[in-house]
Amino acid sequence: MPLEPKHIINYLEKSTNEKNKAELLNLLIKRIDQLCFETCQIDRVACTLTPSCNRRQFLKLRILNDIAEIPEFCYNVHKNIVLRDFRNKTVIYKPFDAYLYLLDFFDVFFHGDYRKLNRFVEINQWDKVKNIFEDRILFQNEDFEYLITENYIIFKYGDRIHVVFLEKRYVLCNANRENIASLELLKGLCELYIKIHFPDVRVKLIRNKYVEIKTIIPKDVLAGVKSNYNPGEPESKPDHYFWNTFQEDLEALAEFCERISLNIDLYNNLEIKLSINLMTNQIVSGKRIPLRYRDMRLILNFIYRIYNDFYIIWV
Amino acid sequence: MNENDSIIDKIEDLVKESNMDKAVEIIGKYLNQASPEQYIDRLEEVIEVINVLPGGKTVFRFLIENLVIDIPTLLEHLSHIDHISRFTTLLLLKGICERECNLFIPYSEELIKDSEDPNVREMALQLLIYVAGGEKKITRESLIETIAIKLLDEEKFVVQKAIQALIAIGNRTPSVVTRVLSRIAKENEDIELKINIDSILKSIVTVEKIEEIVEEEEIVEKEKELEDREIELKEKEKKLEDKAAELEVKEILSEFDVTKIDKEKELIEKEQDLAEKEIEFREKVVNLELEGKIEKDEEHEKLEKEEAEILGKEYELKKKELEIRKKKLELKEKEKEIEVKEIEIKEETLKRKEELIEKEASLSEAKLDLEEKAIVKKGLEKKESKLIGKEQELKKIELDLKKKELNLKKKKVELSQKVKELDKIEIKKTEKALELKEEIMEIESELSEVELKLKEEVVEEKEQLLKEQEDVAGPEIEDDKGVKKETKKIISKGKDLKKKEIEIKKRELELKEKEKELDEKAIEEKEKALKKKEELLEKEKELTQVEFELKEKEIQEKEQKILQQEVKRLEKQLKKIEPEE
Repeated sequence: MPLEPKHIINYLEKSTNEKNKAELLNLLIKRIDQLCFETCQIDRVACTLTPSCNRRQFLKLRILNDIAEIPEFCYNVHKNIVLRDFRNKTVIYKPFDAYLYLLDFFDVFFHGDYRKLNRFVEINQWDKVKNIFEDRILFQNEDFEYLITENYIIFKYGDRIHVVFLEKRYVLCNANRENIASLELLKGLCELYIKIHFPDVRVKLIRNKYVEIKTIIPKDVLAGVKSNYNPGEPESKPDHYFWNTFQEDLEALAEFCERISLNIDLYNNLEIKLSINLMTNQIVSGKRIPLRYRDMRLILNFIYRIYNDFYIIWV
Repeated sequence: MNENDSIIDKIEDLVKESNMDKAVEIIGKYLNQASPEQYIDRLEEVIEVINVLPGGKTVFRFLIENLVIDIPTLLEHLSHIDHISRFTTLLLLKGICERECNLFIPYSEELIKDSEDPNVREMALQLLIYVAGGEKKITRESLIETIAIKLLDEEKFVVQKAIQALIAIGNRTPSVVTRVLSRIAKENEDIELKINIDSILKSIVTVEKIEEIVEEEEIVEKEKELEDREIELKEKEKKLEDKAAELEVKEILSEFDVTKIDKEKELIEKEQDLAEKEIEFREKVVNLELEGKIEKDEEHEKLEKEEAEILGKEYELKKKELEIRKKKLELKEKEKEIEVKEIEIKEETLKRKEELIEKEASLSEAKLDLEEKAIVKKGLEKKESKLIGKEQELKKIELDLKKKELNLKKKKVELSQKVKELDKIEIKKTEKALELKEEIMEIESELSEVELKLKEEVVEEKEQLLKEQEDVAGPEIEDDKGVKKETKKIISKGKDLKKKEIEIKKRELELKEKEKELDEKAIEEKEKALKKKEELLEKEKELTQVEFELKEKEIQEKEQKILQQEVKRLEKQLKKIEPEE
């Protein structure tokens, strides 16, 4: 049997000899450096059209770890791809989960103000930052929404999400398969979506353990629903009706939510609570998978459907 | 929506409808109406549209063919556009480069050499890489040299592209690339350049190609040596011709030397006078003999005999001279015949080569058709492995044939070497013959001068003698004894003179004999050389025939291969049709 990645992972996990581990890892580092700086980047055509690593993952590795030495040409192409995708031009691949340095992100998305923005963010002058954003939305007809939290700025351009990591000074563009980094970010994402699409939905951070999204379907809406469901069934209650109607969706949601609860409150309204934390209920090789941006989008789509089908329409 | 957007939409629609001519026309107008500032934006817009559409490649080809966009300006404009647009556009041109390299190659050398923009140099090199991967081989040494010089470019990415281009070209023409690179490595002392050349050569030279390269290099070197030798020989021939011409001129001049002619005339006249006087004197002597005063001399008879012998020899020599001339003419005729034969053989070989090239072209076309068919039908993939095996066998056969060809070339080179050696020997011999002729001419001229002097002396002495005789015979013979003594003296002097004359004539004859011997030898050697030439020509003929036979075999094998492929394809088609039925 030839040497496989799992063998190396096992070896690194089990080996207690640090010297041996270092030898192995140095070999890997040497090879990655050679690939980035010599083999790939030196042939600009190949680096642009067919980079040596999948979706420039070694570039991401360097940005995430704040390594100063990066393959410049590769990074320029990477930035250019994000820019072209943003301007709806043809790209070699869709730049999902692409990391850019903060200054370059501002350069791509806020070209005229990118130096100012960078400066204001550096010195935490959030009012001025907001002024620039508002100016762009109101007077330059730019179609985006944003939310500033303590450690993040979240942008929503159509269905694309970009997350600024203020402390680390890099940005995740077109977030998709990346893990949601913190509960603060998770809450921020929910708040941004709720602000835009369903303002009556409530979001709460509970004991720093999970984020709770609470939707209420009023009793008069429920009365309408009641007339639709079969009264011959003695055990048929509104929450049962919802369980039956959205069975598939709720089952799918159950994989991503810590807890889903449908209750009739004191005022006979139906209360739907989704408790979400950073881990999903999906298990791979005995471990729970972290919650990703795309999973979050699924959850928010469900809320959007319920909100529009049973709240706005019925009201 | 502004006007530009509507034009771009129109172009898009036309390309989608496959109305390429109209699309090209509109693009041409759209680009031509743009100001220099607008041009790049418009070109980028057009490229953006074309890049995405399925018919984009065709539109690009039409644009280049109809000179709406020419390659140098396209590359210049592309250098101002971002990397992604630039390189995706280049990628669009790949197919055109592979199939219609003539649209690019004429510009590439100039663009690589002279462009100040490194982006343009890089793009030109990239296009050449695409061309090298196509149908045609790049063998132009000047172009390869220009690329090789770019190994010293300031920009690393240009150097990298140059390396890639040289490898791509070298994979198909390793000998030319290795030759150019080794020359450049010798001329430059830059270490990086040498390292790059080393890496290129390592990737070009495989075990299979080593023999081929070495043999081709040897042949090229030998050919060069032969060329040098030929030039030397030609120079020598020219010198010899000049000398021969000089000698001819000298001969002619010596023939037309007025002073000599005059002197000779004078001498002849004097001789005639002397002969008359002699006759008179002899008459007188006869009279005296009749009187019983003079006795017969035996020595006189001997001299006459010798004179007769010399005359006979002279006659023989003249005969030999005529024979030599005849032989010389025959040799010249033979030489001409051989030349005519050589020309005929060359014409034949050229005709045959043309036929072979035509056949090969038709074969390659057939091959291309087959390849296209093969691409369309992916179902053939299963039996590809078998075909690959057969292809490898064919490649082996091709390699063998190439080796045989190389051997033939070697033999040819050897033959031409031998021919040149023979020519050299011939030239040396002719040189020697000419030198001898020169010597003979000099000796002859000296002899003629001596002869003239001697004749003058003889004439003077004869005159003196006659005067003395006249003085003696004039007042009547007074004293018989005195007369006898004087007449004896005169006769002995006459005899001495005749002896001297005979000796001179003997020497002249000896020289002439020697001359003729040399001429004969030269003719013999020329005959030998001609015979050898004839033999070599026959051998060359045989070799070319063998070569043609080999090539014909090669073509037959290729034809068979194509037929087999077609048969297999048809079989598969039939198999597919049968289950459907």
